[in-house]
Amino acid sequence: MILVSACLVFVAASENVAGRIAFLSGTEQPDHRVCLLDAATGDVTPIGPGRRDGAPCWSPDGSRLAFESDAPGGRGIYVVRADGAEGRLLTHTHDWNARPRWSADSTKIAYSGGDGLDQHIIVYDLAQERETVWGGPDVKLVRPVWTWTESLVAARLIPATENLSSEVLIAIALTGSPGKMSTDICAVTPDRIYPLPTQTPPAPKDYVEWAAEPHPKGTAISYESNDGGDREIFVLSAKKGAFDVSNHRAADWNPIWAPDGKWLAFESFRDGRRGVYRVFPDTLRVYPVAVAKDSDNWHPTYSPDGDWLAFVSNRTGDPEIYVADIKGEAVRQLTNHPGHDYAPAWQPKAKP
Amino acid sequence: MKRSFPAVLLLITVSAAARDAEDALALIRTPHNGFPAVILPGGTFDAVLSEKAELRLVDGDKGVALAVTGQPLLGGKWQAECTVPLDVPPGSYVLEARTDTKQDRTVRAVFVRDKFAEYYVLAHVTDTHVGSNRNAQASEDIFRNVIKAVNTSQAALVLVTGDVTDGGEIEQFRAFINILDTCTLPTFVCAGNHDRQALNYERFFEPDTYLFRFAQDGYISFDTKDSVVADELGPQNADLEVFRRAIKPCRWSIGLSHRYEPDMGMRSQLTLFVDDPLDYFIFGHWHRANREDEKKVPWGTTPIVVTPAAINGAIRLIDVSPLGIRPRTPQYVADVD
Repeated sequence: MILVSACLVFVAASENVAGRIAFLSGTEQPDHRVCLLDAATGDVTPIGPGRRDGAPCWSPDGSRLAFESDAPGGRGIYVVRADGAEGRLLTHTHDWNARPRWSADSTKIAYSGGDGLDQHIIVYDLAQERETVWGGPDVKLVRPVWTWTESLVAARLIPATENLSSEVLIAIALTGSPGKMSTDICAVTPDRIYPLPTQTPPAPKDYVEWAAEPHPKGTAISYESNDGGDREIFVLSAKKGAFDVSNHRAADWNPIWAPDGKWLAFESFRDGRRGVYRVFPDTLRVYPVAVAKDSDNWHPTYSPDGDWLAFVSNRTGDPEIYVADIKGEAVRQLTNHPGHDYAPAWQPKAKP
Repeated sequence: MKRSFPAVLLLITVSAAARDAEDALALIRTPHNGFPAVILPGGTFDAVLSEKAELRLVDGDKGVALAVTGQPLLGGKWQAECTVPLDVPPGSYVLEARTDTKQDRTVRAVFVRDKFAEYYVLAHVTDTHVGSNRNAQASEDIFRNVIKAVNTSQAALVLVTGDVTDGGEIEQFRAFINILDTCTLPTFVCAGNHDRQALNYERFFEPDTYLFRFAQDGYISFDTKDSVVADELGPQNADLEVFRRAIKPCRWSIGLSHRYEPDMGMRSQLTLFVDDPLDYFIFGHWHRANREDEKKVPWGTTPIVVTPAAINGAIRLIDVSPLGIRPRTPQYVADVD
């Protein structure tokens, strides 16, 4: 494995920032490669094949990474150990496969696979090396992410009678027909889907929901919707139903939960350009983390302890990885490369 | 009748060469012959330079200095807001930049018009595939005839939506530009999948994503980049959101791209077709016109216009008026065996 710190220069890391961050490095062309950044030393190690790698996602035990990469005839899911060893492309039924997400026990990977809008949720069992289609054959689903079955049952979002494993998926169902297409957020089991009540009353139209992210404990789901006229961040919980937590006339995108589930980080254009913000859903107070008038800041990822956010900023011209404490102070640039460095994903702490 | 240049014009002696020795962008990043400024006398346009420089408009051996206010941009570039004097006659101008050590020219970079009409015609040219051997006629000859047809049409501007080259090679871009520069109209270019070879497209035509206004209408030109998630995670989506907001006050909002498939770039589709739908979307790639059952994007309201490939001799004229845009039937203007 080659260290490329001469190319990707570590600028200055906080003394308190530690751990590893996976990210994409490349240009506008199909040379994106998954790399690992040591947040303490700034060392960068390329570990992906560099075939238009995309969407890196850590296993919850922090031992492996899954990401997209070019594969014969389309795109496949690539899995590699955290040290870059044992990289392999999964064997797929479909040519096009996207956005892998790990189950909590790190034994399964869910992703969307298919052609065009004919997308299905595929679950790959790493022990059995086998794909299974979830949700039934007649639904179009994308962007799966795992959550706890028990929490959905407790919230009466799926029936208690189902004989299910401990985890099910939340995904986006592509609904309607060309000319009237829309989306719904669904719980997805191996056999069927359960649309979730994501629309705020009186729900006069079919809104387009996106970017669903379950709460770490499964007690709520954050997502974005154009309910209300522009794109907003919503939270669906058993107690409160669906409610708008970002509420601004500018677009709000891509919510992610803090590891303790108390805060949401998201992207917003409320100050002009794209910036990173946090909201405390219980009070709806929004705080800026990384905002600038003349540059974009996006794609936040929490450190495992929740004290830091890594994100992408093009404040020097090219997208680079930065880190800040959660108040947006102590901002440090972590990469400095003439191409693009982006899509950071902070490695979870290994469970003992 | 073309007016004469004002007396304050300075005689300048510069070479006819544009851009750098390879015809790639150099000191002047924009405007250029793939992303020109189209303005009225007294109007302003933004130029992006690799460093601060003096700017002039040049027509033949005559030039006029531009009043410029500038500011540094991210990445060390320089943005110059240029005001065109009121007495500059309508026409196509070279933009010339000079520093103490450098000089650069971009031809067909600034088009001064005496007025904008409520009704105008645009020409859509797509998939020129310069360098291709797929037809008996040379691709360059076909493209040359396409440009001749555009020059004699009623069009006021030309949209060139990607696959301008067959393989994205330097020589193919140079050949494309040489023929493009025979066009007498402003030409707005975007990249196609065939143009992505190294960073060659960006060398000749930056930026990938831009907006411009023509008459009362706002246009967003963008590269769909074949729906690869790595690109979805990059900077383009924010530009599209900001640009969409910027052209919201315009009469018509019109998107241009090389390619569109419903599963491509979902974030950009949410921005452009769901949350604040563009009024129209024009693209190519299919090498055929859109059919009766392909009138709109799947999300609902934005009508699409798909034009057959110029490598097969086709262009399409589109009427733009207060009533909307009305695509005419594609014309085959070049013989292709």
